[in-house]
Amino acid sequence: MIRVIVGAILAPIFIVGLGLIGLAAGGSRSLDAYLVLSGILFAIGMFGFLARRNAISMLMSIELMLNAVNLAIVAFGSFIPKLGAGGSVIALLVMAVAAAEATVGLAIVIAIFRNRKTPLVDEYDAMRQ
Amino acid sequence: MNGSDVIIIAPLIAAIATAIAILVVDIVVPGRTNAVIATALIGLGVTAVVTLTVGSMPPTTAYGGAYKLDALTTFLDLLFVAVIAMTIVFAPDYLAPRRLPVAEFATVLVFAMSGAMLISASVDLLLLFLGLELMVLPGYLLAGYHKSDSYSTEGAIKYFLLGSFSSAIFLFGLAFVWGLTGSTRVADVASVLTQVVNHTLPFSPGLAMGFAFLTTGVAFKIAAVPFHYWTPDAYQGSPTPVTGYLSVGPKVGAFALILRLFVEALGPMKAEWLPVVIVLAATTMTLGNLVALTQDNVKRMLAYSSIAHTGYMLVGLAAYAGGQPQGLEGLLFYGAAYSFMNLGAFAVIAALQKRAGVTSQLATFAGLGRKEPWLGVLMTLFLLSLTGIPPTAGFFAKAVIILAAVQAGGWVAFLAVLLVVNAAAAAFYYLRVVVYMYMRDPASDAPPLRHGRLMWGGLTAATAATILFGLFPGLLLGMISAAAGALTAAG
Repeated sequence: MIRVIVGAILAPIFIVGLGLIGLAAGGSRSLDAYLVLSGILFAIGMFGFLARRNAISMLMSIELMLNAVNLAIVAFGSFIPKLGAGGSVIALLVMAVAAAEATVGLAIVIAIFRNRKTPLVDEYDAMRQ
Repeated sequence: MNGSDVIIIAPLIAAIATAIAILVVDIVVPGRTNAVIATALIGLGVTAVVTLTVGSMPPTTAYGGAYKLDALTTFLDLLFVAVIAMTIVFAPDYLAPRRLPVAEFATVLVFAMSGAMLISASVDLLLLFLGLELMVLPGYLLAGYHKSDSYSTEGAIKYFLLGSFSSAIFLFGLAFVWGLTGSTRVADVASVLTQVVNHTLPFSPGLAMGFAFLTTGVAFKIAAVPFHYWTPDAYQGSPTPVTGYLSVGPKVGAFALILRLFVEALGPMKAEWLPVVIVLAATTMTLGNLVALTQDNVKRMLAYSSIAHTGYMLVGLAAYAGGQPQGLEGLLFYGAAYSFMNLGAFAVIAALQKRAGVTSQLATFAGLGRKEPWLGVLMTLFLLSLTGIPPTAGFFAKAVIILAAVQAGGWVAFLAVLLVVNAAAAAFYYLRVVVYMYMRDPASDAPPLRHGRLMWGGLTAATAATILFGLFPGLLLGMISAAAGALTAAG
């Protein structure tokens, strides 16, 4: 419940804030549009991570956040000439890291699902004191 | 890439070759724990020698200035090698009774070390991120290493979810800093910031947001309050040798990242980030200690105490930003001293848990001083060192940080006072374990365990380091002041 409330409060703040920052940053209007979109995607991912209870959904939210980062990187790379081809290189590296993370994450989710028979993180509370 | 680049990254190559060699040995002679450990220790020894040899060259960079070889790199690499070697030595006594393979454990651990070594040498934000991921991904696997144990997997999933959440935050910050400064090189970012401080360039809100996200991501990794929620569960759930490693390796690695990021890249804006570090340090050490007071599981207690130690190290960073370069020396000395004493304490817990089913509850320690006198004495020594009582390494480490903080003055001097108060409060929960060991009767009549030679060897090394660095801090200070000097010269 708390996570839903926190998420519901955070999401609009992030969307509006990141939108404004995106408008203020950078030189050309269309770069700002991409940055705003990236900020919105990132905020949706963050909201999903905080609000969802299913471990798989949380994993998907993290992937969404990483994809938002990639969108921002590619947008910067194509709109700012002095960055050169760096954007593509960084984006590829981020994709590789995201794939590695997803692999490890799914392996851990499978391991805990075998032990607990549930993907809901709220029920992983054996150590809570 | 040319020949000299390969020589400069030789320590990294040696580390990865060690990890692969362990795997190959396990394939050729399956199930031979001794062969695996011998390979790992020889490989780590070679890595240390290579690091020292390469480190004796004059400071230089490789790969177009992304990888830097200086005194800080060498010092941190040697520290990581020592931490990993001790973890591998402590592990078999815990893993064998639970039928967990040692070879995969050692391989994954050495890969994690290669990530930490990459961090210590990176002067490029993207490379720092890659090193960070290479260090923490094996950490997630190790936390869930006992995969049929529900505590271990629970710790692992919490560690993983919050860890990759914070990685995404860090990366979002990186994207904005890169896009708005035009480079991922630490030196280029620093030169842009110098222009911002001199008002020749405007400080865009996007850049400010980028740095805020980077700071948040790193604060998660070092478990600073309020980004510490994953720590207690991840530490309590993990197999004990893994907990020992997690509380030391990734923490010192993340501090290496902080040094490269805050001191080198954000160095020109010291005055701006100092208040943030002061607040983080004050809340981290106070909350960590307060919650540790109420724990009756020793692993969970040490988890909260490790949060408090993060706070102490942040005081060193604050002292640096307050104008005292010795603060960095304090931070590095604290990192080294903390590594040995904390690993030692976890090794004693791992030794007690050789009998499967033994928990890390406080009651396990009842009467230990009589039943297993040597383990009792060593645990007492490590706990005294964590408290900060002379003549141990922990005392000297705290002394350097407090001295630097007092000299920095202002709010940083207030942090020094808070640190002393916190250390006194921490004595209560550390010494409670000692009271249990010497003044309570043993809970069970089980005969004392026989511990392997490796375990004793590792404990001897940790003890020697804890006492020697306390009695003769000069042994370490030469290297540390060179490392801190390399950092401030660049920043």
